[in-house]
Amino acid sequence: MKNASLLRTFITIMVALGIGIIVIAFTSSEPANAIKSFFIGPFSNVYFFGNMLAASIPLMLTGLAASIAFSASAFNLGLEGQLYISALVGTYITWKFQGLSPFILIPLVLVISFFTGGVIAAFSGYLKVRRNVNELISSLLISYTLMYMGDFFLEGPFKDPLAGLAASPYFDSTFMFSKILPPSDLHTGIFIAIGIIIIVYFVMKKSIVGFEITLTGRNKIFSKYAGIPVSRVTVVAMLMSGGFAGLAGIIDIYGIHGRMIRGYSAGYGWNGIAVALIARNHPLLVIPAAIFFAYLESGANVASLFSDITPEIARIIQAAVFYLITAEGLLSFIKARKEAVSNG
Amino acid sequence: MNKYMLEMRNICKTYEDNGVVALYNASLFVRKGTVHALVGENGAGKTTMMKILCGIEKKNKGHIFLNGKELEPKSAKEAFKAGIGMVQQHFRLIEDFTVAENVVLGKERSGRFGFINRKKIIEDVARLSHESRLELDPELISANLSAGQRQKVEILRTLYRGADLIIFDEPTTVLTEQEIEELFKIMRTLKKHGKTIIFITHKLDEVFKISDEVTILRRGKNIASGDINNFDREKISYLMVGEDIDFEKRASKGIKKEAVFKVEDLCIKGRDDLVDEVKGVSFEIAKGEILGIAGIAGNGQLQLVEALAGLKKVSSGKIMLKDREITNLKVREIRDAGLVYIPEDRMNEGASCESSILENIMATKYYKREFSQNGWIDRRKSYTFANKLIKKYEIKASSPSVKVGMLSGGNIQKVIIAREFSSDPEVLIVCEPTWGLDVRSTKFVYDSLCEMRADGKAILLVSSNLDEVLYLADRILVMYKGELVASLENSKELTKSLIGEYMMGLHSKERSEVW
Repeated sequence: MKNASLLRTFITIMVALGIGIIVIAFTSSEPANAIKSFFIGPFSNVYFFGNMLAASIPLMLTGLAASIAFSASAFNLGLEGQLYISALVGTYITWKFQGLSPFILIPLVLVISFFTGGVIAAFSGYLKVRRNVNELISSLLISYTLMYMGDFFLEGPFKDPLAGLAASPYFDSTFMFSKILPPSDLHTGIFIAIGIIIIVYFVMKKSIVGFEITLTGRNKIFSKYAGIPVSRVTVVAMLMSGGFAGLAGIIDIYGIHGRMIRGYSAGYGWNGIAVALIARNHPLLVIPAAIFFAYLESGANVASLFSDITPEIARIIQAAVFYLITAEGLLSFIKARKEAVSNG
Repeated sequence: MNKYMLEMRNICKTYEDNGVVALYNASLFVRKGTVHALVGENGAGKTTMMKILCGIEKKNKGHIFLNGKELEPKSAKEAFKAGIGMVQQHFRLIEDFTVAENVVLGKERSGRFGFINRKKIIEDVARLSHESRLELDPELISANLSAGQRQKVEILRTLYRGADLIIFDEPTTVLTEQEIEELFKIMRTLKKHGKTIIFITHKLDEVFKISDEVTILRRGKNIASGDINNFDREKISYLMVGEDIDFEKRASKGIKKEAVFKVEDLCIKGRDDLVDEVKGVSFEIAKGEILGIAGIAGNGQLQLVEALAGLKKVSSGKIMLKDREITNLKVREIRDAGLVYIPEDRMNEGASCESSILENIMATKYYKREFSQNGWIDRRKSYTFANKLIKKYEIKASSPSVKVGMLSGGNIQKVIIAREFSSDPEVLIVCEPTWGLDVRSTKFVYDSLCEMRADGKAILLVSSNLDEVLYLADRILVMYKGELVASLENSKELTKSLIGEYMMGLHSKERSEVW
């Protein structure tokens, strides 16, 4: 069963990449070069390779975030907003208290950002179990509201008057994570992300919390019958989900930007959902799935730099790949969820 | 009469997805104008055989002849055209439609401009139901029908489509005693009108009551067939399972001791909060006693047991386990107090089919100190424990990691029983424990329950199967419209038809024998 679904994912990826090649072949006057830059480009030098891995860091965490919620059969569609607000809150605290030692402040900010995202998502979970509000809708709507509120702060009270765009002031560079593989953006945050994923993997597999989340996700009626605190489990799963989205946001700020920029998240939250679907909610598989996403992203960038493919064409290819993979992943997820829902 | 109407010769069927050999050279010969019983354990291949006949499944090998002509039904529609109709075990009616509309569904004879002539349909269905003695008002809305009436609609549907061969797939499972009698009358009438009937069942009493001939399937092969007069109960039972299973003997009655479980004046509100679904129910169960609750499904039994297990709120009244009040406690608190519950719906509620046997067994125990420390579950201990239960309860699975959904119905029930009984409870609530199980698994369930009774547990058995209640229970309560209308000692004189009358609400509370 498991091997069959892995094989299916692999075939889907191959088909998707094949479509990408066809689109390039039709639109480019020098298709060989374009295809080469798209697919080989990210590996052609340290700079591109490092940037690709850097882009995968937030995806790993949002992918993890989505997979935890999905494991509990809860749909957290608010990852984007949770990530955004947590990054903003984390940036503000770092900027405000930059006199403190990074060794104290960074861990503290990580915890605060985790709970910022976590509490927002947990609120949707709470509405779900107490008021029977669909968590899919509430998390999405809350997320949008919070993103606009975040934009308000970046345009007004928390705007750096000297910056040419809607962005906060830079905080002290001692707070930035150190770089690996300069001149690329790759930073030590990747170890935090991978470390968290490994811990979560063991938690899901071996701990009481993980057992409760998995069982609740598989069959709610049975879980209630067995005496598992289903409501609490749903809220906890949403809290963890939102929390990891929050960490994704602030780690990206610490690793790359050094300040909060309006709209800096290039759809990390949304792509996290797709990452979780490819990884089939398996925490460890989130790592390769996130890297694959980042690979397509940087392939698009490289190809638009070195060939006649415009960035728009590159995005079309990327979108085709995303659609196919998510549709396939979504199909099996919806199937499973339908069964779960028809049981209650 | 001598000629076979239906011949199914050497049918073979292997399911591709799981490699299960469902039928291997199975044959079935049915004479015209007879009621032919097809009996066998669960998984013997009865349903597969009929699905092949109806064109729902494809056979790998073998031939089917209908009235001497070879038949290769590729779809249910083709089988229908050939005159084969099936009355399903689970009725599929559109709730908002009238009886007549449900009967003609899919074969509406439309009039001019594609409009349906409602009046004509009603007339047709009324005539049909009159002719076949299936008295049923064609204008009733289906949502309000009882199980027996729904079945009549299904039968009418096959007749409306002109079926000559009608297959009844375990038709008595959902019916009351009275409704079963009526069904048999209908089957006799159909026979008189020249219809041929295949009757799938595993209830031996019914085989002898209604059928002319019988074919016994065991593990995908026809073991024996012939005139019903050549068989008796013991012989069929032996042929079905390959060993004698004694059902006649009643379990030894436990000696009455003090009551460990008391329910006082329990009321439970319905969904809309307007009407009580359970109205002032009181009873006691002593150590080593099985108390049976009989009743037609939907008379409040489900709500009652769910409230006892903590899955539903009690609006007034009291539940006492020994000296402790457990009314409206959380499920886990009630379980830890010593009450376990085996629900009616074993596929969705009693077990999580997508999870492994290990997870299913640990679901009620993982948090206990035996199995976890500081928030981490001891996998080795729980694995050993699950393995032990698999051996003890003879669950057919290669390891505890096997998904429960891959097991047969009997083995799923064994997993549930293993989990619940292994927590050493004081009180057991057991609902429809043998529903849809074969003879062997049924015997296993009965033996387990009797063992628990001998151990001094208090057991509440809720079942719509009167044979089961009469076989196991020391005392029988009858529930009707949310009330207990009778409390009867299980003596030799107690008959199924008397209980049946209480179940139908024919007697009021005052007339009951013992209270």
